Amino acid sequence: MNIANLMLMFVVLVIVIVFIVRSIKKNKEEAVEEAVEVDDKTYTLDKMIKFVKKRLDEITKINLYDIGLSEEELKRRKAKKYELKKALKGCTYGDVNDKKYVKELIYDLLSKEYGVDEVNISKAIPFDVPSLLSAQDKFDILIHEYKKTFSYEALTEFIKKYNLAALKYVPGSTKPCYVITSDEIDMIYDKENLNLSFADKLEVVVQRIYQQYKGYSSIDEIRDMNIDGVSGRSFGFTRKLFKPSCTNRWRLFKTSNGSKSTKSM
Amino acid sequence: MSVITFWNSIEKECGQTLSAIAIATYMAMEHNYRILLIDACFHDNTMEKAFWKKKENKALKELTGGKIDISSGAEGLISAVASNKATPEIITNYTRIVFKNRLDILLGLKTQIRQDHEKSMMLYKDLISTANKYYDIVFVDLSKGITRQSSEAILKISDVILYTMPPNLNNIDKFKELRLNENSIVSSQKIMPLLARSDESSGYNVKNTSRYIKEKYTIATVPYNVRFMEATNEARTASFMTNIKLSKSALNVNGNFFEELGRTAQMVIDKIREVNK
Repeated sequence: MNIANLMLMFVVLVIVIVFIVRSIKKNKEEAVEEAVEVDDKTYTLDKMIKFVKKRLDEITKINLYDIGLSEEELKRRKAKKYELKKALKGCTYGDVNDKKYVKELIYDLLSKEYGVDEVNISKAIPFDVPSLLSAQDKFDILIHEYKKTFSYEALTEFIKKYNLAALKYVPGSTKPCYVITSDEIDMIYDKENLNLSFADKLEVVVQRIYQQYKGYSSIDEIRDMNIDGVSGRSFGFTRKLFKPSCTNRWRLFKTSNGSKSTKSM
Repeated sequence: MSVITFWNSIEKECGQTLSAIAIATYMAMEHNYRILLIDACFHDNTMEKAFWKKKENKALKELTGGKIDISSGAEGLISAVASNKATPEIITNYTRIVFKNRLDILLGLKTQIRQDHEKSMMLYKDLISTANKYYDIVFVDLSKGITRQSSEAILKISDVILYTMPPNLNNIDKFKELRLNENSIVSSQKIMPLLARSDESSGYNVKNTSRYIKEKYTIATVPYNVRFMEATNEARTASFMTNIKLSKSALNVNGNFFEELGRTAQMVIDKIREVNK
């Protein structure tokens, strides 16, 4: 072994050491987690949905073997992680219990980590200014309040109380139809004069986030009610745009286990 | 298959949590029971401190970016109960082990807001009922006082209620007074008085107190033991109890403490049998 070899070995060794030190340093810097940046848009629904998606992804993808737990603790944590994964999968099929579980988790994430409070929650849905609330906001709030008393009979009771299942004429239509208009929702909201606590407000926000992230959009809450089913149809250009030959009406029927089956009409 | 609740009608320090810890640990060691001890008190970490030193899991912190480990502890379990997903097996996943297959502990809620605690406590009744299917005995250290709806629900489903009182005349009189009231839960058959932190040299020792409250037999007790108190402060409860079991002697203070715990444990078992008859 001559001097040139020794020097080469020394140079390689130094390069390896420098490389290892730099990668460790880089990892350490990356591990510093940024706090939630607060600006005007932080507490909007879109930002909250992004945050919830990211966090649930982090929770379910965490590698438990890296933590250095005892055998029993590892077994228990794995079971909990599996339970959450199962719930996240099950809720997309319309399982009511899985939905509740995921909603509880979203509630905790928003209140404990994201820092949603009495003041900033109004940026997601303007609870304090009724004139700024959309018909959907008002309907979501009303259904939430009715659900507290009537559980899955909420929609039925709501329709019954205000006689909404009556045949009526709407402006621009010559034929009478069964419809609940946004004017009616506005009128009912004013009549009910609800006083929402922070927990109620957050539950409404959580439902809205859930229905956009994992649920069935605007029919998510209605679908869970004790009703025969939900029938929907899209109007206008979408039919022509995508498949003019076939109908785009669809219907959700409830099965005995709470999940749904879809039938094209 | 039995729910035993430690409770007191007065919202004052009375050694209730330490009594629950002592009796549950003793029964897990000496009897062949699978036990769950539930901390249902508000904003109190006595139970956690009695068994575990606060140790930060650096790896977990790094992996979660220092955020809350959302699916752990009583909070995670409450979410499962609220969504009808709590099975006996799931409950064990949220507990911490003291003696494997003998003693598990479900630590209390971390919230410091009374309303949030009360809301979660409403679900504890279901949680306890589910846990009771898996464990032989479920001990519940309940928040003191009688004003809460959730506490009443838990007391109703309990097989035995250990009414914990310190050696203090006011507390003992309060117990006598409540027992005279026929509508009070204290007058029910499942109530069992327990004198916590009792001292033989005190005027309110276990024998005098038993006579004073007109009990036929000497009531259950958890004697005052300074070494035990220290152990619970230093997260050494399990090792302390194991050590005095190995070196128990009727002559020393620890020996007496252990014997009295044995007598109390036997009384609890007898009471369970009597109630379930």
